[in-house]
Amino acid sequence: MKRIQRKSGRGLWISAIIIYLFLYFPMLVVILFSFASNTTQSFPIQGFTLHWFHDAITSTVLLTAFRNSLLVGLAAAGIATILGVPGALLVDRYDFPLKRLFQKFVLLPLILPGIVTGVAFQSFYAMLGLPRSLWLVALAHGTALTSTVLTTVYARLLRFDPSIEEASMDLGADRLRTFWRVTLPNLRTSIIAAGLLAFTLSFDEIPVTIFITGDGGNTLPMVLWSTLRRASKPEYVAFTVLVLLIGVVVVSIAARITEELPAPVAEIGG
Amino acid sequence: MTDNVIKKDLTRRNLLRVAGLAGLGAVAVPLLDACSSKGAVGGSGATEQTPAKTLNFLCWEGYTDKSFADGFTAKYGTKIKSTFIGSNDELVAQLTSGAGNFDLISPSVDTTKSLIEAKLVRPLDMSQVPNWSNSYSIFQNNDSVKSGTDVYGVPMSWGFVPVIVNLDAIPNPANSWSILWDKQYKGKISVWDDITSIYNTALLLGYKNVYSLTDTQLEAVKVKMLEQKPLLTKYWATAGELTNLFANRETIVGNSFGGTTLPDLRTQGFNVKEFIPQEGATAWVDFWMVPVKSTNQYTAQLWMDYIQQPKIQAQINKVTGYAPTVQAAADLVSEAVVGQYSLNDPASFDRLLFWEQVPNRQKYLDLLNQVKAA
Repeated sequence: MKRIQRKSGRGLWISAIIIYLFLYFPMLVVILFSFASNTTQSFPIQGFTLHWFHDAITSTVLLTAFRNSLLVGLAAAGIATILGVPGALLVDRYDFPLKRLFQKFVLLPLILPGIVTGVAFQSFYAMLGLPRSLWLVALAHGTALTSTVLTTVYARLLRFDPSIEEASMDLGADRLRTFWRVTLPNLRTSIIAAGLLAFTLSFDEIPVTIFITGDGGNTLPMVLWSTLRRASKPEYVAFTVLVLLIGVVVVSIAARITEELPAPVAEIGG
Repeated sequence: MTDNVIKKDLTRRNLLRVAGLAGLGAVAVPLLDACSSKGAVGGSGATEQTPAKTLNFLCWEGYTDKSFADGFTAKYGTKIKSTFIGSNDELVAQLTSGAGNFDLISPSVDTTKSLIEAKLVRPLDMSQVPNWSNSYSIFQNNDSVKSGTDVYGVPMSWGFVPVIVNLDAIPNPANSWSILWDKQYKGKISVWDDITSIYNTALLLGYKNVYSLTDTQLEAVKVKMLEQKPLLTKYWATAGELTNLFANRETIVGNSFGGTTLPDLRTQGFNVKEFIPQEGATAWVDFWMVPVKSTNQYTAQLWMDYIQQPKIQAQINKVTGYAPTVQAAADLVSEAVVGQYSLNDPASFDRLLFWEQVPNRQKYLDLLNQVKAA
């Protein structure tokens, strides 16, 4: 028995390492080039420098675009969560006319190519005569990402044992209190995960955004796209690495927070 | 019974929870509004003869680079806000969808005529742009920015679409577009994913009317392009991609549209050359135009006059690698650039086929898509 366990242990390690390398090797290459003094991303590396990082953090174009992407991402994640969480609860717990149709419609943004969603929003905003702004971009992202949040939270709800809620109400809590002190804490990790996912998807969104941006400023991926049209700029590679670093930090913090949350069931008595 | 409870609770105290969750989104809203442009009608507060507070640009990246735009802001106090485009079709789509209020756009010369005909741009008052008279006459007289006696655009930069080749890999390149069909370079050729690849193929086939090809000619072009397709590394979509393809030695010959590809590769130690083959080449020029919805034509014209100064044109060349549209700038740019574009020999521009509006553009684009999908 012992021998078999050891064998699978090593095999697991090796395949894990290979899979992680496969996933992250491209990122390692990008990080490598961000320190290279070449002006193009190619071998041989001619030297090492931090000069691209300096150019990256002093570029107002990049910083403005980054700020725009952050705000749009936060707003989009907010909208998606506000619509997605109640939506998941609705689909899980209640029966209403046209429920099956609703479930299918909600999945549409996930199934349709982003371009279709983008053109749809462009026509919609044009029909309403709305002046373009980042707020409209956030609205479009948030609406499309609602399905992401809804499906993530719904999946968690399926595993949720309703007897905990029944126990809470038996002990005297009303529905709203039960929801706030029992259901929501159990959903907390999936809501945070769904929110982070929505933020990430909004941050690097291009096909929907390309149809809706206007004179209100542009998001980071759009700026990168339109710059690449003209030249391959190494400071943009450096900026990407910085964004990657921020992402790693944020996800680590989020993971740490969700780990440290107290076991929800214990809060019923509180 | 539970239904009554649901109804009561939902209507009674829903607000607090919703408000809490909405807080995140609500905080971002005013921030976003503040970041969005307030350049709507009347927002910039310009009177007839005072510069506006903000100018909204819809243009190619690099056309409002700080190195020369800051000088304009310092002189007139006007803030520059830019939105960048990735293609001319994108620019037209942005304008025709009507949303967004731009004061200056920078379409290429194959798009300008359709904008004038669709009445999306304003005729300019050239008495307000005195420096325009210093630009090369070929741009002043270009039909695609004129309608009757009205002029609609001031030239910003130009370039042509040459063959680009790595001389270390191909020491004696053939002086013809056929080099891009040469089987010995199989897998190392890359051409532009753009309508110009149709123009170049037409030139190779000996058609001079590249902007008005007949259906029969288009068929011949399609056959020729399909012949080329298996020899390509890929169709490049952006100059950044092209530069990297050459830098990584995945490609040794192709075409470019000028710009920083050549200088960037040379800095990396590559021995590359751009040349116009014997069949000729097409050329592009970008014009600044003022959309009809703009209320800041006076300030927009100040910008046009500003960027036509020779020293600013030289700076624009430094940033973008594109050729200056004013002859006096030839004294201020490097020898290499003067030689590359024959800046002191404007008669030589006549041999270039400057882009024009293609009446059956959709047919050309369909052909390109068919070739790519084949």
